[in-house]
Amino acid sequence: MTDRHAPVIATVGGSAASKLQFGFLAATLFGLALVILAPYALDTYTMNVLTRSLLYAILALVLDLLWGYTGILSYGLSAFFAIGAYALGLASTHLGFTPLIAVAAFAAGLVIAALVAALTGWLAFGRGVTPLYVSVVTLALPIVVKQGLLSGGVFTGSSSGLSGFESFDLEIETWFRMGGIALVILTALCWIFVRSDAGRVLIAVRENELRCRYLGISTVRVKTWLMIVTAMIAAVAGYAYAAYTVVVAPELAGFEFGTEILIWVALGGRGTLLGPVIGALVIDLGSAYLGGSIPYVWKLVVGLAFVAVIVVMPRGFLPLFSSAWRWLAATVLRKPVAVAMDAGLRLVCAPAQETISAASGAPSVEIRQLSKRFGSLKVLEGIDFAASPGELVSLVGPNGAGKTTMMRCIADGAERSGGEITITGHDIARLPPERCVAFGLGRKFQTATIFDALSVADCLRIARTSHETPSFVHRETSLALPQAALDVITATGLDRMLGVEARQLSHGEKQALELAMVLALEPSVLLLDEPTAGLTKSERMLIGSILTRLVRDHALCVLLVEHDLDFVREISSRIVVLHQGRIVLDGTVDEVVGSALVRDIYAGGHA
Amino acid sequence: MTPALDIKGLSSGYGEALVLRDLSLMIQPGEIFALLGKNGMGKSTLLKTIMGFLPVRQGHIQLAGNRTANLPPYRMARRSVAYIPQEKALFQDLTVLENLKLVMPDTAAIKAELERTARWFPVLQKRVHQRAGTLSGGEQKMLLMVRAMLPKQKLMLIDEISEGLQPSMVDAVSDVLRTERASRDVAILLVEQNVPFVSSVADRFSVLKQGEIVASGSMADADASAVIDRQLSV
Amino acid sequence: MTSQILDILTSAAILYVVAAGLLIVFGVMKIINFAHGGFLTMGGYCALATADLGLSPLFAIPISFLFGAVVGMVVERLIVRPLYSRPLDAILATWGLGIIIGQLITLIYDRGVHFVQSPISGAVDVMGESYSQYRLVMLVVAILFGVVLAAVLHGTRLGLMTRAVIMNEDLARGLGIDSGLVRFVTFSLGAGLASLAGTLITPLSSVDPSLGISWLVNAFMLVLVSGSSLVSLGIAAVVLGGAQVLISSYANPVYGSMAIVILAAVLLRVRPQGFAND
Repeated sequence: MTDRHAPVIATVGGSAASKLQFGFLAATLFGLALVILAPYALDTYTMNVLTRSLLYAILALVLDLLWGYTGILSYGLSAFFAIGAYALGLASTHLGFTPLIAVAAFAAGLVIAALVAALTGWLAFGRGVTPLYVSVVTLALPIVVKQGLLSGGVFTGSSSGLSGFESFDLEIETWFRMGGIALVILTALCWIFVRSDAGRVLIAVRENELRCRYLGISTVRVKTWLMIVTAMIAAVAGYAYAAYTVVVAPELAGFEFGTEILIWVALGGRGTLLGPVIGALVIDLGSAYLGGSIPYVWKLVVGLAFVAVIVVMPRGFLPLFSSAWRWLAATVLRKPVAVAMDAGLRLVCAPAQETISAASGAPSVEIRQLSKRFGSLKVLEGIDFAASPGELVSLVGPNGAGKTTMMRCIADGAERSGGEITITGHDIARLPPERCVAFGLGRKFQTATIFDALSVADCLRIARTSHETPSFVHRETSLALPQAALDVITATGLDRMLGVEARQLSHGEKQALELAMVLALEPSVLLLDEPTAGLTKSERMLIGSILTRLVRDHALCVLLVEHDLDFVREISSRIVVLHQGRIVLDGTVDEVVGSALVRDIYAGGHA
Repeated sequence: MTPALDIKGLSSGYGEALVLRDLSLMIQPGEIFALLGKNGMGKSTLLKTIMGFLPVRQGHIQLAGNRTANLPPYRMARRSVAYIPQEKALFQDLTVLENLKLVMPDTAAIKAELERTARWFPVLQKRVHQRAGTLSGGEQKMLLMVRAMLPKQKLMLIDEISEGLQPSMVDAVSDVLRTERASRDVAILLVEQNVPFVSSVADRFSVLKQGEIVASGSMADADASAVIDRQLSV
Repeated sequence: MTSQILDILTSAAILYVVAAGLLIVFGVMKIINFAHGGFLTMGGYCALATADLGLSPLFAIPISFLFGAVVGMVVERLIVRPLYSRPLDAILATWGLGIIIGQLITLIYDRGVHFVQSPISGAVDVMGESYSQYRLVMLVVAILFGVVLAAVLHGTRLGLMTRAVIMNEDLARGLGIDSGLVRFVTFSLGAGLASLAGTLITPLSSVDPSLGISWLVNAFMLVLVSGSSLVSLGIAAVVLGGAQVLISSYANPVYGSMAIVILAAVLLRVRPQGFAND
């Protein structure tokens, strides 16, 4: 996509990246060597237990993708593990064990897990449901699966499950090595994935789902796909578990086991991949050894540690160790430690595209008879309005006049109670924000809505997701942005801060970053809600000049909600006055400013 | 005399956004002070900061000579501050009596206060067992006024009480406020956009623009309304 | 027919008693207390301990309530208070607490199943059919729970303050109400009610360390579909508990045991506010 001849605007980062890659390769090889050589040093009992722990660690790993990286708190991963396990157990018990049946059972386990995950995602990530609802669904899932297994009579073996079925005939060392290699390679793949451009999208979804949707990313689709992929991996681990232990029981599906996986992840350190893996291995191995010699105390200790970690150090143990190591290296060994930096990054200009509205010739926004009610309260009524490319329309009016509500109705098809809205000629019907964005809409919120945990460059790249499909394996070394976004970045000095974490920006810089992110969408219509709130005078003037230039040079249509009437007067080409849910005046700056009606509305406090 | 409210060099806002910058003002006991300004200029933010809903970023606030930095809102209320927010100021699902009981457990005292204020707000006495949400907009404002006066606080913070109020009610509110001030030396900080109302009731005023005070004066000044009009004009 | 109606009513009553403590904590604090299961178990063992001491089963009622309330106070201070701003973490931490309670009980009492002598046993004649006396007592208990809680919420100053905090916490604080104190009292009351409920259900089932967990999920689902209203909880208990009884008797007890979970999940998808009326 990126134009090879485009001039480079700015670069950042560099040598640290190659050092990091080398470390990653070395760690992976070390891990592989460890699991291949370990059987020579371990006794059979330990190896036996560890093989199971390795499979559990795979569950912890994928739960970390779901919870640690994407913020989906799932109690139900155990259900998918059980689906994979029972696929083999049932097939082998009832159909006998042949290579063909083993393969068919494997495939069936994957397909069923994927379908159940898709259904779970469809239920859990619907519109209007509360964050707690994900917990409801992922709690219901393992309960339903477990009860289903319990009620299966002879077929599923009911409460005692199935055991002693025929399976692959392999040495214990081979099982251990296979489990180990699978875990190491899967961890390495996850490591690559979460550091790729696509992996950043997961973090963006966790950090700010609303912003993602207004950048045109279907978060429901992202989360559902992640649910499906993690479910399939869990099913494979379950299949391996059944093949190795030749025992399957309904407890594998239960939410008690599902929560145990959460405990491994939380203790190890959510969002670190390695932490959950180590957490699962240590705790499961500990259960096998100490659970026998000091019954109940071990589980009590784990419970206490879990509560303490959640309350006092929610990031878990691994970050504690790594910062201790950094401290040790820096103070005792007097060796500077390389902190992971952004890979070398070039900022370039994306080739100009014709905006959607310029192509269609339709008005940028057209509203007919828009109304919005909350119960019996009418917030907006009978709004008719249209704006064309190259217009900067300010919406003004006292508090409660309906300005922000009107913005919301334009940006999200589900918001309004009645009327029709088109964006660049497309009827928004009841479409969600991400679809409205596809019609050429960009929305900047009143409070800076960015991704705090990501770097400035990553925030901007996420904004380009709908234009350039992000890679799942590597990080693009150049970032192509449209001219308008580049203008904002260079004018505010953000081009020199591409590697900085967004949370560290000043309030004004955050506002500018959000504006640049929205402009990176190459919108035809830009909605801005109080872009100058909380900014200093010079920052306000800068935003004002950027906006007027955008309208002039890029034929953008800007709709602005603003209280600062001096600012409005300076930059608008048209002013619309809203009062008590209706448009009372729509005219040029001179017409509105001179109007006695407007002075009454503002100064008098009455209609 | 110790000022009822003394604010020096106050900065405050939401998250990292500063809405108020280096603001100072002082109100004496028995004084009605009006803070004027258009929407979004930081008026309500100031009241929320005084009440402790928002942290003081810089500067300090003193109530009757005592620092109040970072006291939680309920402690401010117990330190004799009555606050009438602009929105969601009543418990709609509680009755009129229950709304009042929250600030004063003693039913007899409530009845007495309703009796005393009946010459301005006669309807409330008939509505004590009605849910607050069923009152008209004007009646809800009456209830807010009574609730603020009931515990006999030293400082009242009132956010745009006159908004959407019919002229006769606005007059009643100014009358009540003047009587309150005269009878027990309460200090009143009004946040307003309604210039006629402010002119009829306030002693002094300041105009707030983008979080900073751009004009101040006494209502008695000959040019007071000219100054305000100039600052508030579109 | 009569016995089926009684089954529905008494099952709903038991669910109501079990879920009431969880509901008031959720209503005031917007936090799901997953230690509720642990508190229920604790109540069961309070009944056992009272019986072991040779005291009348009636003593178990105040003992378990007070014990639960005191444990609740400690838990609120140490675990719940730091997590008000992290509601999802609060679920996890209280779940962990449930594990701790379960393990401590196991250490003291081992994992075995115990039975507590019911203070009221035998059957009574209701419209020509004989029916378990204790289940009928639970019906009365549930009504008492509802009436007492409603009386506390609507008839006392603390109840008024609690309702104010539920409706609009900021406004309540601005009027001088210490919402932290209200939360503290509410959590301790919720824990006390859970422990009491655990004691009350022991004559109907055995006492073992996993007593609470089996009830926890159903209580959680009922609370989510009820919002923060005691009346909605009553409706939810009758509708979902009734479905459970009917499905168990006409189809299969295993499907019956899933009924509440599945119906709640579907209901919340279609109507996120559940049985609450806003």
